[in-house]
Amino acid sequence: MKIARLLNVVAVLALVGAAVTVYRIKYDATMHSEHVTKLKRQIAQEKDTIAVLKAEWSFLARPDRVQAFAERHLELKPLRQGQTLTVASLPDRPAPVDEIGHKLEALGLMGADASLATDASGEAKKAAAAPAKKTTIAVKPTSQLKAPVNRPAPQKPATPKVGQPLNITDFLRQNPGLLR
Amino acid sequence: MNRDAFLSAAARGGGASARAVGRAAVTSGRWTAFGLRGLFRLLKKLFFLLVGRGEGLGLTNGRLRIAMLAFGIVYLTIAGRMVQYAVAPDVGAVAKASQQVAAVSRPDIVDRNGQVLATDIKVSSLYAEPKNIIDVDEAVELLSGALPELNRDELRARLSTKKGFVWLKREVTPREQVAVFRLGIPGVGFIQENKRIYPNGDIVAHILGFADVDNKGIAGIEKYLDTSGMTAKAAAIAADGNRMEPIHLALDLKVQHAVRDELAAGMKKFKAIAGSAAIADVETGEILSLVSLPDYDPNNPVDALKPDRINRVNVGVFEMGSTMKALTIAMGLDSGKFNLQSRMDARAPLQYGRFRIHDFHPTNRVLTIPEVFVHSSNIGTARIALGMGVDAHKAFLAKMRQLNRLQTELPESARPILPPRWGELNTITISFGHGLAIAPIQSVMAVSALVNGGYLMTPTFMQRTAAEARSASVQVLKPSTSVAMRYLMRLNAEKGSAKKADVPGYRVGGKTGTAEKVVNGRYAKNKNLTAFTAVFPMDKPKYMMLVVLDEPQALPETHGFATSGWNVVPVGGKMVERIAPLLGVEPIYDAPPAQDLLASIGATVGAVR
Repeated sequence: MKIARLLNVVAVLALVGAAVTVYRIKYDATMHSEHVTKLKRQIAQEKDTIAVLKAEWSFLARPDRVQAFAERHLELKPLRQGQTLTVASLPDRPAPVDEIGHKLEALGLMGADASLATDASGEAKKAAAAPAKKTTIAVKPTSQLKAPVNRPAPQKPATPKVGQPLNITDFLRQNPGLLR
Repeated sequence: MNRDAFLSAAARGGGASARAVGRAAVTSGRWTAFGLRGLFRLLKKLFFLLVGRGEGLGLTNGRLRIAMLAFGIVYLTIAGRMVQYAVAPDVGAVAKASQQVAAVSRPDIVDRNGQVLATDIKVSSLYAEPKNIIDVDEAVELLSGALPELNRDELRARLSTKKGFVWLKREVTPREQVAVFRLGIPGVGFIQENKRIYPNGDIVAHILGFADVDNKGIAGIEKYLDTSGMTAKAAAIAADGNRMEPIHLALDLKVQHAVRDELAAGMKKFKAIAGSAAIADVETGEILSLVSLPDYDPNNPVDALKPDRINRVNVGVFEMGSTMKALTIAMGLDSGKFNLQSRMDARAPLQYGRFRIHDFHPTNRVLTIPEVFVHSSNIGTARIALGMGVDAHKAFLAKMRQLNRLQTELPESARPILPPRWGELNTITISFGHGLAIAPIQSVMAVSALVNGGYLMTPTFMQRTAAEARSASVQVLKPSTSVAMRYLMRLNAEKGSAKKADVPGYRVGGKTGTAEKVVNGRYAKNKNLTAFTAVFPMDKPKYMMLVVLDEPQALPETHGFATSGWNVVPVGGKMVERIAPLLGVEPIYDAPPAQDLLASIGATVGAVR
């Protein structure tokens, strides 16, 4: 009899325990599925935002705008004859010259030690024989480079606040070229 | 009144009426009447079974049964309604509208380098459910306060209906959205919908076309996406919360801009009323750029339907002038009846009936074929066409698909205007580009075939590989003819009318054309359509360019000339100078002369004067 009663108590406890566990699992599952839905919605939102940003980027980087900036701030010109070279027309790489060796020789320090061979003859001659076609690119020294006078002060790019939905309509308003 | 009496009376009445109905039904059919009578008897039995006849039953019991019956009916109704909802959910007008709006999702369009040309963004639109609005006057007052641009009377009219759904304003700004939201008017809400935007504005107007406020494609590639089912596919993918892979066009945005920029500059300089240009890849038939000025902003296409905003490359038909001579000469060379040494008598104007065909730059001597091409001799070309005969000429142009409508992906196309009766005189004039009006895109296709080895391929705005294009093409010319045409076009840039487009390094070749415009059925001497077809680099043709200016004016620096060599050719040269580096054409400054192009077919030519 006692055992039966004990068994009953155990069974009731087990029932309560099982019920609690099941409920917890169920609520967890609900919570997780809500979380998944939320994340999915966020992903969709992010994708939309990416699309908006891409649109904004291509709006800001449209060729006519870039061209206007380039004309204002850069001194670039179309490619001209003489500004291109073929790889074949480049001179061969000169043979390595042992300048330290030469210097030592000139100072008379090399005579005794024959084991230290300077570039004997062949290579140096070859290097000298190769027509060293020099191609120079005219570059102003850094000290002479200066920003054009009319360049506007760099502005901090307006970044949208995190969490706030990026509003393309305001963007379109600010850029009347898109929606007149 | 006694309950039992009432009930039995009701039952009797029911039976009586059933009998009456049954009697009436006898005429229509004994069996029907029998069925009906049976049904009523069954219902009567059921009623008395549920409620009881009253005999020997307590008052409470009977009332209870009536109440039970009533509640039972109520519960049955509720359950039935719920089943109905579960099986076929009742979508309200708002839900319907929002579904409809969400269903319109268009794929993004990008150029060949992945630059966005058209994309969808989400915007909110304001709607109202007039049947749920309690106080229309208040709603009108508040809404017109928050959105001053709404017309009060119109708003009142719209809200006074009993409709389930009306749009109040499409594409509201977030600020307006917040303002309306704060008003807290019942029956007013927002739906997010897709809006099509074109970040590049009018640069790519004519290829893209545009979509209307409901995101339906109205013109250009946008319409093509609808008709080819791409939009439906994008909508299906969007329903799963994803975005479709963008559609890659063959277009190169940088090239498109450069071409448009130079064309606009040229139009301004020569005070032309319109202009158009197209760049095609001759190996694949891809259109890398298509500009037609004046154009419109697809974001705000109010101007799109004006007659001067047509796509002049696809829809306009023009007499192309001397650029047609390239086709005539190719026909002569390809037939084998003529070769590069053939000589044409251009000593005197060609007399045909009462017409005399003159040369614009008379040479008054016998010309070889290269000389005919370089001097753009009408007489020489006419003699070639006459030598071929009317039928052969017609058949050749048909083979080059110059006589039928050319349909590309763009829905816009035009039928060429052919002479109603094609006689010898028509062949003569068509040989040098008068009397046959074609869409410039047909000229692009034909000239590409002249230089790419003789493969005629339909131009496309989608990306395509050379192998795909080759397999879908028709060989219309011998490869040797193509080589000879390359030589002739290059020679024309070295010595002839296309000299001003011979940008150093890029081996440009081309043919110019000036056609007098037809005004009131007569050729107007002072109104020209100047065209320039160019190909570069000529030693291995890759890109084909067509530039057309409509009514360019003579300037002091053009010495009073308004022919194509003075206006459209320098414009074309500037275009080549800008786009060739973008397209990766390697400049070669010590390129051999045109003559060397003929080495591969072993042909020789004499001196060209």
